[in-house]
Amino acid sequence: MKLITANHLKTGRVIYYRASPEGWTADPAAATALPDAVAETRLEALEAAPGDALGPYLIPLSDKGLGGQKWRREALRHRGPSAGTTLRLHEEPR
Amino acid sequence: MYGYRDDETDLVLERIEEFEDQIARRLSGELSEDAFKPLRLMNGLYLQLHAYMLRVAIPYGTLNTAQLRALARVADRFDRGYGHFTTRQNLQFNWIALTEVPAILKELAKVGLHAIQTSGNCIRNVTADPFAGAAADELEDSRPWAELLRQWSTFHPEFSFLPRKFKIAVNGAREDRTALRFHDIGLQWVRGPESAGGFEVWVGGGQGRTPRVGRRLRAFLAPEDLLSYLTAVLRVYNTHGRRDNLYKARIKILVDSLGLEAFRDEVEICWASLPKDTLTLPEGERDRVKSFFLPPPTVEDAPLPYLGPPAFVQWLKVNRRAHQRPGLASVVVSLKPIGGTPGDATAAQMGGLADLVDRYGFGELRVSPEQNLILPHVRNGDLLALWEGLGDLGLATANHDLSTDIVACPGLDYCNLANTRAIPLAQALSESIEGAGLSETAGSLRIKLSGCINACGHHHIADLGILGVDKRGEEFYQITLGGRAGEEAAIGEITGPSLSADAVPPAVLRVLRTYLAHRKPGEPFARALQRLGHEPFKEALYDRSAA
Repeated sequence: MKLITANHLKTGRVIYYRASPEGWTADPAAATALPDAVAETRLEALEAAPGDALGPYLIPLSDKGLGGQKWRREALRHRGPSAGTTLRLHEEPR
Repeated sequence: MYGYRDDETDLVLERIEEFEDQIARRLSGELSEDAFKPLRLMNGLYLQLHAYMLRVAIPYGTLNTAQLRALARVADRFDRGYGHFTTRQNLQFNWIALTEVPAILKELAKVGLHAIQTSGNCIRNVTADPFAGAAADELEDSRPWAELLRQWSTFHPEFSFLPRKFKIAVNGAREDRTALRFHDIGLQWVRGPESAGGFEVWVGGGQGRTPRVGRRLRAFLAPEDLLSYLTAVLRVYNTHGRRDNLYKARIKILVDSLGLEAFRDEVEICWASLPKDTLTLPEGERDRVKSFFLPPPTVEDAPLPYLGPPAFVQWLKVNRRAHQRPGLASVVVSLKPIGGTPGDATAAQMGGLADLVDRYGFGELRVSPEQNLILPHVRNGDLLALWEGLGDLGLATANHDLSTDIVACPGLDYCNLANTRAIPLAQALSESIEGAGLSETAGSLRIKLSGCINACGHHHIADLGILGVDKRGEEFYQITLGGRAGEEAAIGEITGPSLSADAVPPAVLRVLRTYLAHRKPGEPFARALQRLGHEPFKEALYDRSAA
C-alpha cells in the first residue's frame, strides 16, 4: 500500500491525497492508502494535472506505518521538526 | 554601515515587483513549477520539507538594529516566531507561504534587506570577519571591500549563470575568522611591496562532498585591481568550469583538473586582456564606500569589570573579545543555549536584543559563521548591564568557542537535501557535555555537525566534525578529527566506522576526557591532537579499551 504526498503550491505545506471526496488534505489521518498499482496510476494522473500540488510522489507503507528507506523523512514531514520538542533520539517518529 | 543610494533602493524594489509578478503568474498557472523554480531560487526562496524557506542576505554579516527588528517582525508575522542564523552569515525563515513572500520582501526592503543572490549559480553573499572594524588584530577593515564586491557582483550580467554557486570571503585581520581557504575565492589583506596594503588571493577551496583547502593564486594583488582580477578568475571559471556534472561544477574541481599553474596562466592571460580603465577601482569610489564604515567610537577608557556575579565573570572570560580601542570590548551573544537549536533566535529575542544593542552596542551587530551574534563595540562599563539584559532574553550562555558552541545545519528536520537530523544530535551533545561538566574544562574545541555530505554545518573544518549518513533508513554519524580553518587549514580525517545517533554523545565525552587526561597545561585540543596523533582519540571514540 502507498500514500501520495506533495507540498501545497501556496503554502508549501505537506499535503496527502484523499480519494473520497477526491482532493488533498493536510491531515495525514484523512489520507487514503492505495494499493501499489492504483497508487502508481493515480500518481501519473496527478503529475499530468498537479493543480496546487507540488511534486507529488509515493510513500510506501509497512507493518510499522511509514516504510521505505526514507521513512524518517516522511515521519518528519508528517509530524514536523523533532528539534525543539520533547522528541529525542530514543523517541523515533514513525 | 553602508546605506543604499536611491538608485540602489530602486533596484531592490524593482526586483520585488518583478518577483511579485512572477509569483502571481505561478499562482494563476501561467508559469509551471519547472519555469518558476529557477526564478524563486534567484530570490532566495527554496521549497523545503514543511514549507517554503526564505534565505535573507545579511551582507558580510553586518546588521543594524532597524534591520534586526524587521527580521523579528517577519519572524512574528509570517513565520512561527523564529529565524535561523546560518554559517554563511545569513538568516533563514523556515515556515514561509509563497503568497506572503512579496509582503515579506517589502517589509525587509524598508530597512535595506533582501534575498537577492542567496541561492542560484551566482556569486553569493560575500562573507567577512564578523569582528571587522573592531578586532584588536585587524590590519584592514574588510567590510568596505566586501561591500565593493557585493555591489560588483549583484546582478552581474556575466556571472549570473555560473556553472555552480560561488562564494567569496574577505579577511582583514591576522587571524582568519572567515575560513577563507575554504571558499571559491578567499581574500586575505597583506602588506606587499613597499608596505602597501593589498590582497593575497586564494582559490579553489570548499567543503561539500569534495572538500579542498584553497590554494594561493596570487601573493599580492593591489586593491585597485581587485575587480579586474576577480573578473578574470570568474571568467576563466565561467568558460572552463563543468556544466555537465553538478558534482564537478565548482571551481575547486576546475583548479584540480587544470592544475594551479595552468589555472593561474589562464587567469593572467584573461586579466591582461581586460579593459583596465573600466574595471580599475578608482580611489574616489573606494573612499566613498569606506566613508560608510565609521571607525569605532572613541570612549573614555575604563577597566574591565572583573568583579560581579560569578556567572558574569565566566561569561566575560569566555564571550568577550579584545577590541582595538581602549575602553571597548566586542561581545559574542551565543545562540547555543544548552539543549537549544544552534543558530535559532526568536522574534522576542531579536527585538529585545535590538533594544540592548541600541542601548549598549552603538546600534550595530554582526552574524558570525559560527551561528552566533556579535556586538562589535560595547563600553567596558556597560558589560554587566548588557549581560543582565541578555540573561533576561535567554541569550547569556557563556560558551563561545567551547565544545557546547556547536555549529549545526538544519538537517533533516527542515532540509530537503539532508539524509539525517543534525539539530537533535547537537542538542543531545550540548546537554551531555554540559552535564558532564566538560564544556568549560575542555576550553576551545570546535564541534560542527552536518546532516548530509553538502556540509552546510562545516564539519570538515571542526576539531571534531560529525557527518550524518543514512544507512538503510537509519541515522548514523561519521566522526572526523583535526579539521581547521586559518593558516594551518586542514580537512578533518575520518576516524573509522560511523556511529549510531545514540552512541555519539558518549563517544564524544570519551574523546574530551582523553584530551583532558593527556593535554599539557594550556594546550588546545588541536595542538594535543597534532602532538599525540589520532590513535588515542580513536581508541576513546570506539571505546577499544573496554573491548
